[in-house]
Amino acid sequence: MEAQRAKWKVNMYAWLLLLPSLIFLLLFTFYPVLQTIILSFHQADLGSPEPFFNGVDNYKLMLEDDVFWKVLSNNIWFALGTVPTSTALALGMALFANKVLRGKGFVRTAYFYPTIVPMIAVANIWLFIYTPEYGALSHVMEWFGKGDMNWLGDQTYVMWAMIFMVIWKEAGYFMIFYLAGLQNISQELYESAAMEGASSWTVFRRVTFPLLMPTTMFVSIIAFTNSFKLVDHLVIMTKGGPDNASNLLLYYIYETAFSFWDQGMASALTIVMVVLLLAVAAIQFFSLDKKIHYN
Amino acid sequence: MAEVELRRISKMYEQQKVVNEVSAVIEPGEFFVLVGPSGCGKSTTLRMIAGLEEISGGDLLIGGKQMNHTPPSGRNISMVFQNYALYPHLTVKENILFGLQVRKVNKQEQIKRLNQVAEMLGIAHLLQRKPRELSGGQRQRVALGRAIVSQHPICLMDEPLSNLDAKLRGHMRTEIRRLQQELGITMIYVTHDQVEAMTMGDRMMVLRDGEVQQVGRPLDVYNHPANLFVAEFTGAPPMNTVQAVWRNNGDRSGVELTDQGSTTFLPLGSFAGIKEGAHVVLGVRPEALQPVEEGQKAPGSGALAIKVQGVEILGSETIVEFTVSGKLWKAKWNGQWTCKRGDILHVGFHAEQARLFDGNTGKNLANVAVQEKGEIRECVQ
Repeated sequence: MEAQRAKWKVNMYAWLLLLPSLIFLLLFTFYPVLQTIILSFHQADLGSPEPFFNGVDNYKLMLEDDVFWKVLSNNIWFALGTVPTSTALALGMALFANKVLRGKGFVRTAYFYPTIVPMIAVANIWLFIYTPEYGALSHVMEWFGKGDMNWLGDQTYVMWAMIFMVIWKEAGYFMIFYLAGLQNISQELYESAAMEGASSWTVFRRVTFPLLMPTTMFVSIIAFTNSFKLVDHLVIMTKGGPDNASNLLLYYIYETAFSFWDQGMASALTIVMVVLLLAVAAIQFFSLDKKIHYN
Repeated sequence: MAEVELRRISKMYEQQKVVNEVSAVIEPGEFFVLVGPSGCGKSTTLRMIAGLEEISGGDLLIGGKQMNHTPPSGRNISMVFQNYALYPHLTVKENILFGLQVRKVNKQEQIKRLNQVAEMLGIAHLLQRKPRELSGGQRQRVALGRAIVSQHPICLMDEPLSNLDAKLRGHMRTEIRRLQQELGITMIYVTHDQVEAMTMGDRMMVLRDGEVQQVGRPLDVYNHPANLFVAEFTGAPPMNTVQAVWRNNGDRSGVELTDQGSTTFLPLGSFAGIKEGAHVVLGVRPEALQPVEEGQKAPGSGALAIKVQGVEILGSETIVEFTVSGKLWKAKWNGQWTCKRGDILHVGFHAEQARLFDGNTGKNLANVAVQEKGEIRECVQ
């Protein structure tokens, strides 16, 4: 009896400590998630005064929606364009920033600074760079006789322009993780390899890269989720245009919910995106994890 | 077989000289130990030999060739690191073969050497494991295996035993020595542990603040320390020392100890070249101090009446602590002695076991005298 009381007291104390964050989690995370799942099975648009249950209609409509397929494929191309390149670039930058003898601080700052600039500001800067005729890039392209290109207005180029900008923005951030990873590798390992006369490529291939795999895995998952999360620039630069050529899934969800006011469809789209992200992260995690060495 | 020669090798870090004109000739097949307290420059010296650290001054010759600017892999040496430097993501087998693969040794030869080494070190059953699945001693063996498999004639070791527990350390000491003798390789071994230096080395070099204090066979260094530092660094417990004043009186010359106003005279016989009244430091090894019956003096020497301050009974021997002229001394006696704190005992020592050092420079006064006759080889400073 006494023991039970004491146990209850400890439990109560623990719950009390958890309560503040629990309230916020319930209110702003679990409840909205639940509501989103429920709403995705309802018709809730401007035409329906009260949301009503419509089964899997939203999902059916989605599969028939050309724009959905367009933004999904856009997003996959966007991910394929940004994730490997920004990860590889981050690794290269980290290797260089770790090795450079003079101006280490300057090199690191220079690489890292795009990360601290807010995306909205970055988008404005690049909007100017990509502006036809008097933009910075147009000036450069003029030397090659191609000054008349409209980077953001052309369906073929707009995605490349976005991918390039996001790589520039993200690589510095991922570099920080690689720098930390590099500093975790014991100097003795490199000295030992030097005693054997291993070339720097061999050292990278057989020592540095395998030992950085945990970082690579972490960075690639973050980069992948970011490629679905980062849409701020679309608001400033293209609004998904021209003709959805630069539209991404999350921006489409935002448009569906707050421009077209179809909340049921927006919820269904959200569920699809979350499931997609979870699935890819799980595949990355479970397939690669066994091959990775953790200290 | 290659001889390693250091000619006045120095290392500067910016304005600070951490290794100052170290010279030595290490013979092929020799086990040479660099020993000294932390920060004495022994590891830096080793790393300069390895090529991991640039040489600021002097020459390094391996097999008669100047190697100052040769990269580590061109120096025909292998190295065992303090933390073993095993690649954590590779298996034992891959770790051992790493160097051979880099040097593109043919596959059959690789396997042959791997098997030889694995058998020699008793690690054949561990080949498929990762380093983290090994105990400290096993990792140590793998690191040794990696050095041996390269078949380089020279092997460098940087405090390889410092991560092992005392028992394993003792075991590995003999094992490393055995391997070195079996394979006939030249070993240059860095340690801060004078026991390792004494037990493993053919010769040892004692370093302090980047300066060579003494080079010689362990027993020569132990018996004839070049200076006070070496005397107090070697031996466990180290040599007992105390400030004293020299009194010249023919065969009855000796030192005078002063303790809170009272003086004790210890006759030591004649020591050539010490001036009357000179400040000296008397040094006596703990095992040289033996208990004497009251009134019965050790031949040719005085006895000290001491008050026991502490006793450590180690089973096979007993260490008795007491003060002489304000300095804590230790005596090491065989067997188990049941004296206790506060007991009054008499201890004495043979005059030839006393060492005298210059009160100012710390140099061994006997060595200085003998060196002039050229009798002691290899004593530097």
